[in-house]
Amino acid sequence: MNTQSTLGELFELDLFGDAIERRYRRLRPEVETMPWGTLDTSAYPEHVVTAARRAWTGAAFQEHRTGASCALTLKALIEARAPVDLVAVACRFPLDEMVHVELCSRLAMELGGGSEIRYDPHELVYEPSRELSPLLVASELVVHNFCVGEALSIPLLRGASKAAAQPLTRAVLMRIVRDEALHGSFGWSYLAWASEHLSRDDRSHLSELAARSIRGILRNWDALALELRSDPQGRPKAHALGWMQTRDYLTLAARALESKVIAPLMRFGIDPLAHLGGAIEALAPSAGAMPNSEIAV
Amino acid sequence: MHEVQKKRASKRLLVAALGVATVSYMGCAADSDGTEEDYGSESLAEEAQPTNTAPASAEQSVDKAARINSDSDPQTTLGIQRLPEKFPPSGNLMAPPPPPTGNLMVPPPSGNLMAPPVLGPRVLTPSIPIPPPSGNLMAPPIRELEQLDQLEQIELAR
Repeated sequence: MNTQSTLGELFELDLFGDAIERRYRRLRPEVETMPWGTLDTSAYPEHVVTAARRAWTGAAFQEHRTGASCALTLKALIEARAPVDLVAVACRFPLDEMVHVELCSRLAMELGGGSEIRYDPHELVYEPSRELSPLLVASELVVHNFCVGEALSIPLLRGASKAAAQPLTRAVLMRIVRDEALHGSFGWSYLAWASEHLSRDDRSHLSELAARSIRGILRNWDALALELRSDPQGRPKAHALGWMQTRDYLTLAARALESKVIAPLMRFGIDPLAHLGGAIEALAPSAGAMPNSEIAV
Repeated sequence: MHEVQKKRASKRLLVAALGVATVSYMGCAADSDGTEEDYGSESLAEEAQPTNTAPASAEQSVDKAARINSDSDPQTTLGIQRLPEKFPPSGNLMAPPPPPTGNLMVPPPSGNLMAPPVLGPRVLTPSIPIPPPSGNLMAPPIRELEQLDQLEQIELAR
């Protein structure tokens, strides 16, 4: 692959094919049962389809990052001698993420092709300091990737799947939601084990880390909040290609952050709120039109 | 091409259309001490406003190249959205894409943006011992081997 340039590596992917692909298909037959080839983009203006190509390529990239995060977390769990059955359950996660990478990539290709993402593979995911204890390294990775990232992802993916009007986008999102359900609950199972080994200082450290994780996500949504202020009516029909209206998305995101991330973290003595300074409250938009208001967390 | 490679029919899964909604994800100087500057310091809004403040780090060069690559019009730089950095968790949050104001079809790269390969002298790095691979080879414990040797010698002496 000759994708290296001064702008970073180009995000493009291959399948190995032949016997390896057949083996993979046997492991995850649901990929081929999706209604591929049914996507109808004729009703959408070109700029909406381009936006959808970017959204789905971005989704594939995020799943790709998640695969790396899951693999890194798995290594840390083994180093920390987490319970064997807990580690064994986590072994499935990287495979799930590779399936999601394929689903999102194929959807982008059905929309006309991927968009251009350039990135530095060495900066793909967050890696804790190696000076921390194995337990704290594993705890950082689980809190960052599972208690915040994956726990938040599930309600948002579910919301997007309900908003998706096309059979293919809905089927892909529903498949991802089904897999991610286990990912989202994994963090809490880990903390139920690790909790008795974590000191007060460790919890304080993890509280700061969780706040940084959340603030990093909020930063990614700055552009959405700007959009909402400039165009409060939203974009009719665009959500059919796989994403929610901005107002619904931000409303759901604020609710999900509070109920699916912060409240469960606090039950384990990890309190990110003290470090967030009202950032969550600022996320939820003021009352207005709710085109997808049937969506609940 | 090697003969083994010829036989395998790999498939393209994702092919990027160059110039379509370019996103530069180059990480940042992040997560060192958790300060505000560590993450998201270059937001989308800031991205559209080039500054004159050097020094030109590799990252800034990337930004500059991306801007030149697209257009100087901030409307079209919407396509050059920087994913803020690596610190956010990696979950797929399916955020709606930024609004389609202006021209989302960023023009394809003009000029030579593909850096030529470095053809300088080959640098030989000293070999550094690394731990052996982690596979379970079920070798018998060395201590037991020694004991077996001793037993064998005792048997022979008898």
